[in-house]
Amino acid sequence: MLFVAQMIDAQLNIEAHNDLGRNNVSEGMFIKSAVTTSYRKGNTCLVYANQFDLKSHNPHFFSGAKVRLTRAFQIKTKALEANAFYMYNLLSRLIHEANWGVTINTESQHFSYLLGTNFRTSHLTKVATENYELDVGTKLREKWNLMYRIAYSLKPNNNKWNTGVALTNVDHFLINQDTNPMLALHARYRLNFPLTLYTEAWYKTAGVFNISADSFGFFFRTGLQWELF
Amino acid sequence: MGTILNIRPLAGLLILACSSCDIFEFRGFFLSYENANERFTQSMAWNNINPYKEITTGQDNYLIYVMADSHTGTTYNLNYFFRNAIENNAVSAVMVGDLTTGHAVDYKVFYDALPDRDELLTFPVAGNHDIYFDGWKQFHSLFGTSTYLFYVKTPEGTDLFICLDTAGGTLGDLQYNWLSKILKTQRPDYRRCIIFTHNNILQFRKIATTTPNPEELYALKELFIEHRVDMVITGHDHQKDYREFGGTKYISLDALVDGYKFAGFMKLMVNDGNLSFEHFNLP
Repeated sequence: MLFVAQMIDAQLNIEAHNDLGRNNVSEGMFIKSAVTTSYRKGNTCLVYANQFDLKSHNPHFFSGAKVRLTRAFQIKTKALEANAFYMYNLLSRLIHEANWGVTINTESQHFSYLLGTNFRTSHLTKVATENYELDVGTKLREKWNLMYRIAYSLKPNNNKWNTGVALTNVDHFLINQDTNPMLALHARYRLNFPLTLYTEAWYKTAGVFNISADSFGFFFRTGLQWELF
Repeated sequence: MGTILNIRPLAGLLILACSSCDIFEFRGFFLSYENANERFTQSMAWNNINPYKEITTGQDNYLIYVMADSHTGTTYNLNYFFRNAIENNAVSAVMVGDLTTGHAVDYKVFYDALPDRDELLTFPVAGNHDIYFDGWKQFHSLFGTSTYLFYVKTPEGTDLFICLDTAGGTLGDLQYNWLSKILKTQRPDYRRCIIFTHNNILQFRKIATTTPNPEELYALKELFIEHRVDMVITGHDHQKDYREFGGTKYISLDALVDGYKFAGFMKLMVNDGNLSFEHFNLP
């Protein structure tokens, strides 16, 4: 009985998306997939996500995992969400990366904002240390990094369909340095209540804060979001 | 009235993009004159008719002088650097970017300050400031290339030096693929491998200037581990630093620009194939 009462109060979402794109170091097109599961109860939400490299120069099929804990709260009438996350990326045969950080996000009718910080550590894999006989210089810890996203939607955020644009250095499994912004166009359509389809087009820049902007890459994303209960 | 208010930020952005001062050109936030692939293609065209240089030395020990960020301007520190290199019998001097401010007049001042080739061989690499104000055309017409190799041959072995163009914050896919091929095909034939480029591969401290995207940095670090690149020497940060990762030593240089309190350069020593380096700050 208690379990049923808890279920009524809870929400379970599953989200899946595919990315198809290329960049200056991808050596051709890449295809990636990701699955995200989120469980929300009251003001708290736990999110877990996995990434899979279907076609890339990364030999790891399972290429990333992320866990995020979110707590919703209010300051006066303003609704905000605080997030803490940990992310682990199996980038290549020789290097893996861990990232953790905290963010805060909020939205108005047409705009959404995210601000936060992350700390990146990359380290050599066992294959690298053994094959290349490396026992010093096996880990790199970077200074704090600013995370940001500002997004504009044409329609109010709860509209059946929407489209808009975002400027950010954050994606699901990638956090760029604050000096490398990305531009994303997005569109979404709610088919019926539990199912939403979405598509995104991302453009990645290089050298913007060198004041010599260049292109780094692009990708297209298609995805669906399913509210199970 | 509402429409006018909405147009104002956009108009402000456009004015900013079209404006410039003597140091920055704000259009660069959105657009550069040539992209990395275009500069690389021009560099390779020049390389095709100007073969890579090989320096032969009769001794097993040799010295290379390296500087960055002279931002000419004026040439007080630059002259000191060349004089010191010649006095100490350096086999060459490598200049890893931001040699000028991009203005044609500064390129002329910089070019005029270069020593005679019989006294000292110099190897320039473009930095982000060098391509401001359409500066790549000046760089290309004076030096021809910013992506190339050179070799130093001693009685005991030959060392490979690779100069890369990261002035735009990325190698571009053409240059990245070229580098990857060079490391796969040529690296095994040489004793040591040292890379010179302007942008930092490691972010030593929090700065507002750009390093390449994380995906590019990881791909480069992977290449450097796999092909046992010994050193990567960069400028850009204006502050010397050093860190080792995956068997590669990453070095950043002090800026050489006149008036900088900690102006300096680096001496790279190769003794019987062993690498060492020393930062030197101007008196």
